[in-house]
Amino acid sequence: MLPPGCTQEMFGQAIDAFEQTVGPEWVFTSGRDLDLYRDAYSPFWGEPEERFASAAVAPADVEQVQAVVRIANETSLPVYPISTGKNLGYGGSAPSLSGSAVLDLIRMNRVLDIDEENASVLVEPGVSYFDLYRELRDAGAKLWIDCPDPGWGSPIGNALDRGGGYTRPQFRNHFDAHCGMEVVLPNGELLRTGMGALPAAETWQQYKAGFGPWIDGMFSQSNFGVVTKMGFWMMPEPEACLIGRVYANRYEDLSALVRIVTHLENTGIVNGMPGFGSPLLQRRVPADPQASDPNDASAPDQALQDAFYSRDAAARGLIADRVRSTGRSCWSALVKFYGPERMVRLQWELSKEQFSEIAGVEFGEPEFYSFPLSDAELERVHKPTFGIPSLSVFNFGIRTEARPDLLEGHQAFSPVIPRTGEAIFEVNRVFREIFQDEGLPVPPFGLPGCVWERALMMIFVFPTTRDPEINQKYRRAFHRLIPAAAERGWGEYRTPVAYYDAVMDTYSFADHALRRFHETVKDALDPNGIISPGRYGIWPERYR
Amino acid sequence: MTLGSEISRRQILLGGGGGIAALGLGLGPAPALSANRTDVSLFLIDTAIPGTDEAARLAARKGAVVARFTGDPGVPWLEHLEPLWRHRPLPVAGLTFGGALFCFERLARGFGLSCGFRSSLPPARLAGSGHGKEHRQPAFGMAEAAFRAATDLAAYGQTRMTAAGIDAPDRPLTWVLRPAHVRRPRTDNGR
Repeated sequence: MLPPGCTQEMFGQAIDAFEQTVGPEWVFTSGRDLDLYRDAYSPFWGEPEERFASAAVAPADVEQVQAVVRIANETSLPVYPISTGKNLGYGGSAPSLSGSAVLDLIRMNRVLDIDEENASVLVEPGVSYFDLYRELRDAGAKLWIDCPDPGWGSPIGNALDRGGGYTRPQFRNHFDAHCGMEVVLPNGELLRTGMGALPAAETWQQYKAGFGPWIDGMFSQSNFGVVTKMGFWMMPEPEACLIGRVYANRYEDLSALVRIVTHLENTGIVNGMPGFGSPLLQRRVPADPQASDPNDASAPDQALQDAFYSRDAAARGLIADRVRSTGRSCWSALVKFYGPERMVRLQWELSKEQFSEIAGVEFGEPEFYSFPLSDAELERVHKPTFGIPSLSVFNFGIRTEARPDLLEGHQAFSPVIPRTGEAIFEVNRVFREIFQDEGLPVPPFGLPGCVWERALMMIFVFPTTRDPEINQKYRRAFHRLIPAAAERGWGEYRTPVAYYDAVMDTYSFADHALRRFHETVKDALDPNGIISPGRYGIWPERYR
Repeated sequence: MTLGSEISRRQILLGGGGGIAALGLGLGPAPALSANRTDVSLFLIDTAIPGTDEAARLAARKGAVVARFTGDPGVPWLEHLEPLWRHRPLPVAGLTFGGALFCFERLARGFGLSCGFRSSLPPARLAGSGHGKEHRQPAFGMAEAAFRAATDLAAYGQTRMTAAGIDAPDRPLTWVLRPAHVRRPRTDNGR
């Protein structure tokens, strides 16, 4: 299948030219080869709407990327750049427009610079978090990587998709942590941003903005160019880390808990990623090293679940009774501190003072870590909290008594919501109604992630299966959730390919001024529309 | 238990100290590799699965290097699989849970390997953390038998898939990843 405007003859010309540019061994057109680029978690699996690549081409360097882009222009064959292509749940390596050729950058896998004194690195797109970890270790550099979980993706790919991690706020926002990029523009021209535009500068990874408009953001979640290098600020290994736990027993305490955590973060007292949980609901805090195995969670207590949603006096009474009878707190918060030992212990004491305004609040014994971690600690900790990439998240999703259906893949509905307890209650209530209305199992009462400063992010994980009927049901629910959330001001921060247009539709202020701006830029930079048409809802004129 | 071809626990946990190169699989022909290209060169074991010692002994007798890990598939990926496959896409067998195989199978594709054999073992008593607390029949003997079948199948180039994929949490899998004659970009520029 070829995209509109690209004939079989043009496709053939493109493949011949790709082979001359990168060598025939790095151009792929057979079904078996292309199957590797299929999205393993596609919500369209096996249906006509599933996205497929027509070819793949893997350049070895920037000059070859430039040549490939020029060939794409000449032959009207769109290319879809990927770094490591491990973005499962948000599209993997399948193109947003079927028939595009995947521009696979995995061969460009050099760590170009490690500056331990300035705590920065410069990498190519094919470098994975594991690669970077290995290089830092081999260099003896005491720098931590803020990695997502799982860590098999690439720092560039994850940052450009605006992914997040687990350590200090300036590092766990992966796009914010970057400093300088190199981009092949759709016409094949090479651009460097920030201080990289000053040829003699030695500060490309030290000062972000350079001179004039800071345009780096235009290359994230977009299709305006192919990023071929990015600098990142790294986290110097701290002397210590302390993890504190806070428990609140009343249902109404959530709002205060959220407010205090937010204040502690905004004042810099809490400087690691916080989190919220509910011991009563057996909802663990994400990345809690003491958390029980999520696969072990027992079947939900339906009356209790219902009470968490309903919020009336009877429900509060039931929750209070369960807190008393089980000895489990209604809510928990986890706060992390990185720094010198004396400082993190003081930060914990200061935090406890502020949490003490909640009546009956209790504190768990804090965990204290110094580095390097012991073998026993390495076995039980959440490694990304300590700058170590991991794949252990894949132990989640297997079939259990509480979850009888195999989780073959997933898609995440992940709206940004205000940082308030009220918003958490409201988002759960709205989504529950839609799930019930659609006849789908209602997910357990959800608690937000605190990846981003100042806002919360809910992550509702839906299964994807090999059964089109089941996938259609979940897609229908997803398509209802997007506008229902938007009506209340909650917007997706990122979404699977299947929902790009629907989500972009909701960012509609002033008659879709933002989308029209994107389209104006797209048409100016990429008049032939050959870079990732449709990515994040940005379509070039020829496909609109 | 100590096997001659195993590496230290800390190397396994954190990856310090050379990994696969220290095992002789980094560059040039290694003693563990036979002339038969389908021979399993490395055997990965999740220590959360009990009853795997016999399979480990069998693997060592057959010339495979044994690498153990607990829970996180990222450790053997970082230390063994990626360095090995970057050099040469050799067959690797494993006795792990389904989540680990899911990762390895996808990562293996990047080096032109695919799953040529997968078999589900009976529920096992589980050690360590991260895989539940059920106590059922251990996998003694079954692991050895499964590994024997896997290595034989790998040697003869057959493909057999007996399990439907990821299964119950206490159900381990034995598997072989081997060259699938699928071309795919992989490191070739000196890293």
